[in-house]
Amino acid sequence: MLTAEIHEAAAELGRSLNQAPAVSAYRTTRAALDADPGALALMEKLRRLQQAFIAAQQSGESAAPDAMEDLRLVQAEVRHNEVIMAHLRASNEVKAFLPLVAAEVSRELGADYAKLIAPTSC
Amino acid sequence: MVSAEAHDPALAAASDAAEIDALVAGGTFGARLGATPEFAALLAASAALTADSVAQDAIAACREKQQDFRVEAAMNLLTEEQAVELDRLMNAMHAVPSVVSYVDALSAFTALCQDTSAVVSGLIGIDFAANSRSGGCCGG
Repeated sequence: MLTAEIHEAAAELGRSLNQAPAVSAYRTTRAALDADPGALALMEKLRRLQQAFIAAQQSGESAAPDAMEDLRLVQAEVRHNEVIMAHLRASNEVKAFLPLVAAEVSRELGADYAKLIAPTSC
Repeated sequence: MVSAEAHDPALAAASDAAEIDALVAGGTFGARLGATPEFAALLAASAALTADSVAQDAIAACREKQQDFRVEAAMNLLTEEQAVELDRLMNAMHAVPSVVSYVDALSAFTALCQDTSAVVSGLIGIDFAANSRSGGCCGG
């Protein structure tokens, strides 16, 4: 249970992060993606084809030529989808920016904040 | 007057005023976390652990045996005797009062940090914990 003071300190950080271009761009592009059923379906199709390709590789089989061609076509579609690409670029930006912020927290704290909050799977 | 950016590589690299503000907010938040009773308790427990030779010997014995059995443990090939020996050393280490205090203090501060991370994540709509390490949550 957080004290009101430390809760407010965390909220201040969150509000400040929301003003940063990397975070606001991520939120904007995520909303655009969520509002585009075609883009979401394309992402899902890519995910399924990639998983099938990886599964085939792991089982020592080579992917069927048709499956390879499907994957190439969907990859090309994704590359030309502005909504998806904008979100992927924004995701990359925010994943580069948030560790810098966590490093600032750690620097002032004198302990590795990112490690302390890391999911247990890490 | 020397600017704060001159002392801090992250601030110097930030290209936007709002990014600089967010980095500064990160530092402010870190300072507030550092002023919590939970962090003070962790520092005190850490100092007591470092000064406790019984604890240091127990930790060293445990680490040494873990190193000896590293390959077997990684491959899930520990014999029953090896597993029993490791358990014995782990239990001995966790029975040392200063180790118990340190583990408890670390657990309390970790929980506090994770709660703050949840607050940040809720506000920004991104999992802050999973994205706070370079290369993802398991990055170095």
